Amino acid sequence: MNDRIIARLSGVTKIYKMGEYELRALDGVDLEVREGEFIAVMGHSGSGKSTLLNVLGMLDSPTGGSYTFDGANIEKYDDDQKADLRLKTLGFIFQNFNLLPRISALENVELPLIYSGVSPKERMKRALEALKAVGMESRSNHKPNELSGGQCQRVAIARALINEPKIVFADEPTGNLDTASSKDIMSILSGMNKSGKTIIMVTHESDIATYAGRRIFLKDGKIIGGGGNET
Amino acid sequence: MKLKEHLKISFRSLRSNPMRSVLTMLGIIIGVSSVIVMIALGNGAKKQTQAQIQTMGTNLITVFVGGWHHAAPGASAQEPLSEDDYESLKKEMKYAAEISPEMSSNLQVKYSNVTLSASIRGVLPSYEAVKNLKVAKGRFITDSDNKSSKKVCVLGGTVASELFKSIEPVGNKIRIKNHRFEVIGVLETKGEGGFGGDDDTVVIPFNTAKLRLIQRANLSRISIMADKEENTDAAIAEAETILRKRRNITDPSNDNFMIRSQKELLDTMTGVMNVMTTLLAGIALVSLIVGGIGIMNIMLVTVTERTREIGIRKAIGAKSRDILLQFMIESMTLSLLGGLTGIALGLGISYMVPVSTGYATAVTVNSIVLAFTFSASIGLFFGIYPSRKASKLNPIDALRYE
Ligand SMILES: Nc1ncnc2c1ncn2[C@@H]1O[C@H](COP(=O)(O)OP(=O)(O)OP(=O)(O)O)[C@@H](O)[C@H]1O
Ligand SMILES: [Mg+2]
Repeated sequence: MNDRIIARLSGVTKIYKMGEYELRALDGVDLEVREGEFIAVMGHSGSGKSTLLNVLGMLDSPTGGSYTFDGANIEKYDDDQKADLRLKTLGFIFQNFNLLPRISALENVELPLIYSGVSPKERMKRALEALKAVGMESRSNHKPNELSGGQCQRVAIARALINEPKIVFADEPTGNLDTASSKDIMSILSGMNKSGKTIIMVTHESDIATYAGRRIFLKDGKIIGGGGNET
Repeated sequence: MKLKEHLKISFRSLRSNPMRSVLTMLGIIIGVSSVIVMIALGNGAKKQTQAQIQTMGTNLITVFVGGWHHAAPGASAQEPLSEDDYESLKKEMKYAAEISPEMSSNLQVKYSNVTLSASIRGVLPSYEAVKNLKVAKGRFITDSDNKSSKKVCVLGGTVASELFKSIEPVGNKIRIKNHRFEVIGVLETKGEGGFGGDDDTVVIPFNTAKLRLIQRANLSRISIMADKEENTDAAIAEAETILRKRRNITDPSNDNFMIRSQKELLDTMTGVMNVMTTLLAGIALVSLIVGGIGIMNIMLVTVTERTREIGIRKAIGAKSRDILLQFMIESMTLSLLGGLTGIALGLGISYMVPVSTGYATAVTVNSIVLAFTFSASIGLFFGIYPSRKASKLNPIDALRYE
């Protein structure tokens, strides 16, 4: 881990208007993410963890505040520019895997490479390598419904890593898995982190959070602990 | 991202739901094939009519008694056509190659125990050329037949076959009124069906008609053949001038004769047939549009159904354009594939119709091009709305969609 700040939120808010009533899902969040960090975002249900992750992952736009990613001001970016950043510099792992159901594990992993215009041959090679790295090369032709939850999540991790992202976001990656699979997934993630990947993970299980180098706690859209720079 | 990849993605999702893809295409298939068949039917009818009219010669001009339909006060009443009219036309016209007077009447014709009604036409030998008649058997009437008012006749194809069935007509005698006529020839059947045709006529020498059978002083018609098809209009103008001069008419609206050309009839019929074809094609186009709406409907359902897929693709980094293209290609593929199948089906039906029903069809390249471009534009037009809807989805909302 070095000291370079890859992502910085300052005073970020996300407000949902429900008729007259305003819901502050994020309420003035300041956060600095350094290269190579493994951050666990914790808090009660509804505290704004997913919202924070989606804002950081540029899947969602904040209502206010500023977001600097890799030195660039993201507020000014349009949808396509954000899509491009997601494609080339971000990776996502979801609780429910979010694999495309009708195509094979290999093709799911290839997907980001298709959108970045990599040739079919090169794509195949890289996707197989990525599957191998998560121990799934023997299942590359299986469709998601022919795989267990843990296996699906490994395919999803391979897909998240395929474009060499700068940050990997994981929203409760073990939420749908049993203890054994959870352990497998967490050891893959911490292995990735050891080899230098920046990871931001949402979880509400404290034993899962122990894999992370830093834990931040959210309550009612505010960071109540771990937001500073202690390691 | 390359187009090839977009195509792969789209084909894949169409293949994963083959039944729906085929049903969606069905609308376009039916639309396109009916456009082609309708235009082919319209054109077939047009060509058939044109061919029938052309068998009578397109440089044929006919002078009728007429003018009564102008009820203008002071206009001279209908004046019969006289032999003098014929003589002066024959003498003065420069654009006429052949000219024949005609004295005709509908009379009963009898052979053995068969009786039928036919148009008896007393004409000169030049009539053969004027009306573009062809003698199938025997010979046409000659000048000497006419000079001596011989009781000979040439039968139209239909008359010959109905009267004589399998018996050889030439050399036999038929009875018209109480005269016996020797059949000296039979005309080729033209199959012109109803345009003042020659199939149900009996042609006799002019003098025989005038002096023995019909015994009228006036002519029924004068038939003129222009020397060239391009000169038809000039010949009409010439004939008008001559007749007006003879009858002291200064104002053409007071004409007490009427001149019609086969070309006019051809033009009129062609116009009518074109209108008919356009109408038929229009009806078929409506079904094509309905097919297009079917595509839009299915694409909208597809977009809703695949909201999650769209969300996943966007989260991974697909741009709006990528999603737009994916869905556009799907709808274009449906409509183009439907279009091609429709063309094949349309060609098949257009080929089958004449065989099984006897209606003529003529497939035109234009109708194929029209149907194809129309179906392609339908895919484009009706695909845009659902595709744009898909491409505008917010990734996080799409991911949350259940
Ligand atoms: N699209 C939305 N419209 C309205 N309110 C929303 C929307 N998305 C989230 N919220 C609200 O924002 C708040 C934060 O939601 P968020 O999903 O970030 O919680 P979370 O911490 O991830 O919870 P959990 O642990 O249950 O996943 C919640 O109160 C939620 O109801
Ligand atoms: Mg959540």
